[in-house]
Amino acid sequence: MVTITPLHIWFRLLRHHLRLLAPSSAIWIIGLVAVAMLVSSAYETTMPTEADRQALAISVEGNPAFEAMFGRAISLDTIEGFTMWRAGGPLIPAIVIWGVLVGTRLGRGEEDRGHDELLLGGILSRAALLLSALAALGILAVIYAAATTLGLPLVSAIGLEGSLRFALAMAGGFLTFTALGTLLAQIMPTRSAALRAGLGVVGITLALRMLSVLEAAPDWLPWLTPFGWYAETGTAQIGSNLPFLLFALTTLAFAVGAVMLCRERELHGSRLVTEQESATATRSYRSLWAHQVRQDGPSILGFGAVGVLLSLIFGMVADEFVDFIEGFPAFAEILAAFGLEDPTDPAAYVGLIVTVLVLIPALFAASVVAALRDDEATGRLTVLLVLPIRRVKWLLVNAVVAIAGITLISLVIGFSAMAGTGITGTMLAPLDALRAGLNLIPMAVMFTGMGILVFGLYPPLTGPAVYTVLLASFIVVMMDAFLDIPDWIVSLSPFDHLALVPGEPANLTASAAFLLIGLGSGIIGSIAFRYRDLMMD
Amino acid sequence: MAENNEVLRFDNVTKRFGETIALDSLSMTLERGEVVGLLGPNGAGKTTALRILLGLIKPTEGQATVYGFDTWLQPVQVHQRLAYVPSEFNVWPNLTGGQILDLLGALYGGYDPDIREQYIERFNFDPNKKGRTYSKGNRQKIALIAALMTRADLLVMDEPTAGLDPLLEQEFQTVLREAKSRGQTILLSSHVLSEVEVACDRVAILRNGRLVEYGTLQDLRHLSARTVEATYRGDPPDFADVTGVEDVVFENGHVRLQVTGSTDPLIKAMAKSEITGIQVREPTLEELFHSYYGEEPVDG
Ligand SMILES: Nc1ncnc2c1ncn2[C@@H]1O[C@H](COP(=O)(O)OP(=O)(O)OP(=O)(O)O)[C@@H](O)[C@H]1O
Ligand SMILES: [Mg+2]
Repeated sequence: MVTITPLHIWFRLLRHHLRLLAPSSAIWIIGLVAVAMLVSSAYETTMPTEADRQALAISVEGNPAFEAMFGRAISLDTIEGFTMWRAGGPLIPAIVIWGVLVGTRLGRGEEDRGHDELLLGGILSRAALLLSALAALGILAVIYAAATTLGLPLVSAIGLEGSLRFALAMAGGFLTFTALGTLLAQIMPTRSAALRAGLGVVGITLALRMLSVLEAAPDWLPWLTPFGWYAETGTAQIGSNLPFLLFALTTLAFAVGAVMLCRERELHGSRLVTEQESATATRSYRSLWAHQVRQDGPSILGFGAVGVLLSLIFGMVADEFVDFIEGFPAFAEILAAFGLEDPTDPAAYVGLIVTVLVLIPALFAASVVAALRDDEATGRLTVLLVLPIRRVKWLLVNAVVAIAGITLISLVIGFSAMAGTGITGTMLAPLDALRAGLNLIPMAVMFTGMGILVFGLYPPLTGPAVYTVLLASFIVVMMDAFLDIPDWIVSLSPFDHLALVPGEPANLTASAAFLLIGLGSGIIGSIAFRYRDLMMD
Repeated sequence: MAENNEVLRFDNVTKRFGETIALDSLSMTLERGEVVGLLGPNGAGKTTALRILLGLIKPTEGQATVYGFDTWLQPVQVHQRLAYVPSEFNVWPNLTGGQILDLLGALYGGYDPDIREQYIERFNFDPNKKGRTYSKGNRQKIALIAALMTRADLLVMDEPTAGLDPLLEQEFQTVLREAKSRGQTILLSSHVLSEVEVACDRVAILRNGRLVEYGTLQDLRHLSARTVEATYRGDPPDFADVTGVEDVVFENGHVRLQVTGSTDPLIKAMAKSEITGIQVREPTLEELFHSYYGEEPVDG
């Protein structure tokens, strides 16, 4: 006879947590490792000679425009430095977003759906539950780091030491934001609120990373954020080991904080809400429209604020960038790889930047469709749909509010870029700002429609599918600037078809296609939703 | 259908989830003003039946109608006349209880604020807290108040008192009686047998997705075995071959047995002996359900 101790149960719980994460984590880890391997393997082929490598290092290191995008570049003339910057630059934001997603999921999502009550009915405390979640997340980090460390040397000249350093720096960023996610999950009222707060922190720290490459930025600024720490790890020759310690200490602090807070918190409770505060909310919203605006409003404001911040900063570096380019005409070729035809035109630069910022309205769209599933899984949707409300009307209200939010966020991004350029130099024309903003809308609308399609056909995948497609297609295009990814793969990514407005004319065909795909998949998804069973968790 | 009193009807409704048959050819009807309890062990299909009635899930076969409207094809017409209390009520964490009631009432198409206040008071509910701070019982109160305040013609409730304290359960009984006297029709599922016994005109018992019994409690009692105990002098009476008699136990001048159906053959058999005392006991509700819930092994 086997006696079951709390430790046995805890290990079972850990297995349960790992099983929950396994499907999506496998995709993330494979994607992250594959991209890094691709980039690192391209080093030899794209830059075969020492001279090529020197040229790259001179052109990029210290260039605010490049560094604003992928962070500080160190030792680009070595495979280690190249991998850190070219692969890690875009991958580090991706891996921390993944960290926030899984951290809030295990820290809170299961509880919001009522699963934890079952688990807590047993012998284990809530702290034990959270510790199991943290352990599971730690195991993910180890798997990722091991795969990266062993994978890179297989395809490139990078040594084990170099790839380990890269893997640890990436895993450090992941763990820091994962622990932050679990902490926010204790502070915020729901998982989606925690997720949005976490994404907000990612956005703000990204903005700080960009700011820190400005010539005027103080030297300590990179040390303020995990993205800065990541860049400071550099290579074994030129780089610091201090960031590894900072990653470890911050992760530990967040994790300890989360465990301490979770012990005091009631199930479904939040640290943020006090009884007094709650008693003051009296305003009622008596239509589905008003209700939905209220539900999505904070998130529109949050994504909008991050958009304003990032495009202001990008706008502010526009002139610095143009000056730099005029001094080094040879880089026009590299920039052409990003799709920038005339790099001395500030409008072209703004076009490039704003096009990267399309991620913000697109991520907002993904968060809205993920919330559709959340409403269904928790049963809140049941409560609405037993009222005399058509299912399709409910979806339509959600879609319209989402599109209004997308429009607002996109326009605000365009005009903030204009304001940014105005602060430091020649201001972008208002009409150009408007065009830049409008250009972002169709793609985010398309992701909304595609999300509704998944929601209609296979609801449990709504959030994961949309986030994964969105980030994967973004990364493909980012990588394509330096790698020879087959054209047909790149052309699958919607980002590939986004014109760099206002630097170049809008791609009306692509915009129309985005809108049509969005509309079409939205309609199919709505019909599928009308005629499927409502599925709670 | 205006001339008859039928409120809802299940017509050979079958619901499969993959391999699982959650509901197996369910047919039953409810008349206006009836209070019907839906009983059955866990997984019997009670919630599934109610969700079909609400048009939340589609019957694999058959059809459910409410006031003549198909619940899957015409859910909005159905929802205009019913209110639902789910077994687990999840609320918007950022809305107060009062705001949630306002929203649900307005979206239903209106309600009387005085009636709302009255229920808030009776259920001892604090509407000024945020949704996330409510306990399970308090969330259940929101669902109950929201359903009751609309005065919908039909109330559909899935374990409505789960999570309520005993005093409120008592109050709920009173509320049910009032609703019935107003002419509202009520279908509720429950595991609380005493609740059903007090409140319901008829009970339906589901097991493994099949309707195994539907009738008044008196009918069910009549159909099931009663216990008879008797004392006798002299030779013991002979119950072999007596119709409906089972489980006969003799014990020095005392006999105990179960009888199903008419008691006439039993009485006639007893008359042949000298019976000095007799006692007939109706089954308790627990015994009744024991016999219905446990009759055959639960498969799947
Ligand atoms: N969405 C679903 N997918 C798969 N199986 C389901 C689903 N919903 C219900 N079932 C199955 O259908 C059967 C009936 O479930 P139902 O929830 O109707 O039972 P119930 O009588 O309400 O039970 P309880 O008393 O526990 O509430 C069960 O075997 C259940 O596992
Ligand atoms: Mg049930």
